[in-house]
Amino acid sequence: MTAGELEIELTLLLAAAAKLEAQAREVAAIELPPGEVASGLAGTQTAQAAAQSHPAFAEVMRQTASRMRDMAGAASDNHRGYQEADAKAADRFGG
Amino acid sequence: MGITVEQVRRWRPGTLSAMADDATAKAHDYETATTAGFTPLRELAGSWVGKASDAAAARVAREQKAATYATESIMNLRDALNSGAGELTAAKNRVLDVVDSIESSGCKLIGGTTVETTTSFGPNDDHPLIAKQVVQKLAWELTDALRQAEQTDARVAREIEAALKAMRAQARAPYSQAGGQSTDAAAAAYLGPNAKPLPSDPAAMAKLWSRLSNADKEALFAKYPDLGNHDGIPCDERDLYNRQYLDTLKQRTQTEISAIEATDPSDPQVAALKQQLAGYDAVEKGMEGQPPRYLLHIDDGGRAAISINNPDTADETGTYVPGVGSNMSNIGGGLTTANNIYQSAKQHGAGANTAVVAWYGYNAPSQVGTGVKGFIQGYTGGAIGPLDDITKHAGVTLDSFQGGLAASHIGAPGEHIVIAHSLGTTVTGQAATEGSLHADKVALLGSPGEPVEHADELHLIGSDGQPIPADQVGAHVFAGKNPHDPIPLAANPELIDTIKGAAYGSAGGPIGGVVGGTLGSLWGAAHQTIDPSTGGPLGTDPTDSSFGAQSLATDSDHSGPAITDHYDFSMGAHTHYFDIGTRSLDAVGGMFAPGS
Repeated sequence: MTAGELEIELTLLLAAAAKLEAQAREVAAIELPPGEVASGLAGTQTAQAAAQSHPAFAEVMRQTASRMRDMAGAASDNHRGYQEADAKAADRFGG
Repeated sequence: MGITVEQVRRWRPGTLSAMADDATAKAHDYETATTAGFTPLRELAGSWVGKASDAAAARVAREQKAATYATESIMNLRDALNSGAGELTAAKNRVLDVVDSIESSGCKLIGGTTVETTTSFGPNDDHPLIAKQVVQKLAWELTDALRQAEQTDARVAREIEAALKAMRAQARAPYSQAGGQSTDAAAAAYLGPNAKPLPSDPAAMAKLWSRLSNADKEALFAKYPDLGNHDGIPCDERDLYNRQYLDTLKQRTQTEISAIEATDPSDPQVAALKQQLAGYDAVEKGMEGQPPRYLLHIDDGGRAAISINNPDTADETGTYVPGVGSNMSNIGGGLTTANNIYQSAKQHGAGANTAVVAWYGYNAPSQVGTGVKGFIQGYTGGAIGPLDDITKHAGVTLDSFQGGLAASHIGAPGEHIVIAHSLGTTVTGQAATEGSLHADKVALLGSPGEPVEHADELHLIGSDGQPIPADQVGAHVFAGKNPHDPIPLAANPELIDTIKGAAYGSAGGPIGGVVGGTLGSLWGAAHQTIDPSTGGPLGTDPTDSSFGAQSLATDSDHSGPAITDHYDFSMGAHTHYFDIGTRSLDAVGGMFAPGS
């Protein structure tokens, strides 16, 4: 890879970042409802174990969402970097 | 006492199946959402060429694989739930079949576990022996069915727990810095019989962590259940470990309570343990809500730290250091303050990823003393609690915590702001005196005194990792007080003498009690902790112009009834600095403004 091979469609990059961010929010909002296990199997070890399903599921969603947001941030930063470099060069050319 | 027929009769294993169905639906939602998120980035391959594109493509591939694994782990949970429903249904049916047999055999069930015959026999009747044998057989069948039901319950619980453990591990796995490579050598020195302790220096801990494989991390977590409390570990992983540790602490405490109550319900330990349990519940409740919460510290000594948003990815992170009376059980109030700061920061243009930590990481005195008794005890250090924890540990602990945030931050360095209140300002001052505090800015509100005479004696480290030059520190320290706040008087020896008179004069009354107890306690702490040569009983008033700090705006109203007839002070003026709509909260939020 050389600098001469650098190509980018900025609009698409920004759109990809936005989509990642939006889907990260979707993922973060997915919840596994606690259901009725607590009352349906009251007093059992099974109910105690199943009660952990809700927070464990939430952890998976949150971690995935966090990584998606991280990727969205990287794409967004990359987009901003290209724009700033472009503006700087334009300025030097007297544009 | 084992399980009874009545308990089993109430079982509704179908609720497990319903949860399994929900898990299936949610796994589908998850798969759809992640695929929709990754696809546009993946499809950029044709129009985005460069190193970043290559890295992004590789990351997308890893993340898609991770999402697939996560989906599979949810499906495994679904299978465990469905399988459990089937097993519990079979166990329940067996118990009920035996019960039917008991009833159809002319017997009856007593107390859910005992079988008796309902037939009356005369003294010369031949049937009693046969009836006794029938009863014994049915009783044995019932006992066996109940035992199997109990065993089934335990087995199903274990299967669900195993599925959940795998699911949590899967959530952590993809973002390992070490990828799939095993670097057991890096962790070997910290495991095994002659293991050395984990690095206490946050930067060293962060460096070690970056070399570890997932297997290494799991092994360390097995060895150190409080692994998530180690400063320098990435915040999202601290959160995951600490949530599990919180569960462990809760279960352990509950087991202890049950064990003691079984033998002596009046044992005073029970009340103490229940209070501890209430503290864990408060932390658990504090983890709810949006923006997401991160549990950065939890221990069995009453300390905790919860962050709103992830400090590692935040452009700016505030750490709220509370004062007297703060502990795990009232961390909810600290989170309200943290959220108020967060909202105020956003109003001043800070990004949505701004993080604010409610740092309850030190053993603050449980309460200020009251009345003359409180004053006297406070004067001698008796009412202030474990002073060693405050003076020797709190500052060091805060210093380490801030160092950890700096060490684990991802990408461009983030700005760190410490916002301290009341005795928390003294702790912050000590952190920046004994060590070097990672903070670009420090806010001190309602301070009873700082352990130095001038701001330039505080050691701050900026976001660039370099110490802020002494002659510039004053520009990074902000101090404010409500003129009706009585606590800063603790930094004024002349007024203390006057207030002492008021307190003594009001012996038995609530007004003098509050003043006397509060100032007495704080003054007592000061005498135990602060070199009197630094200026006053509790140190220097940071709002005094001679201290060299920037002025932080505050309100000047009473915020509550005056506490004495003689002096124009109110405790409300001390406790409302972070209320919505106050000038002080607005000023603190302004410290987060970009470019401020």
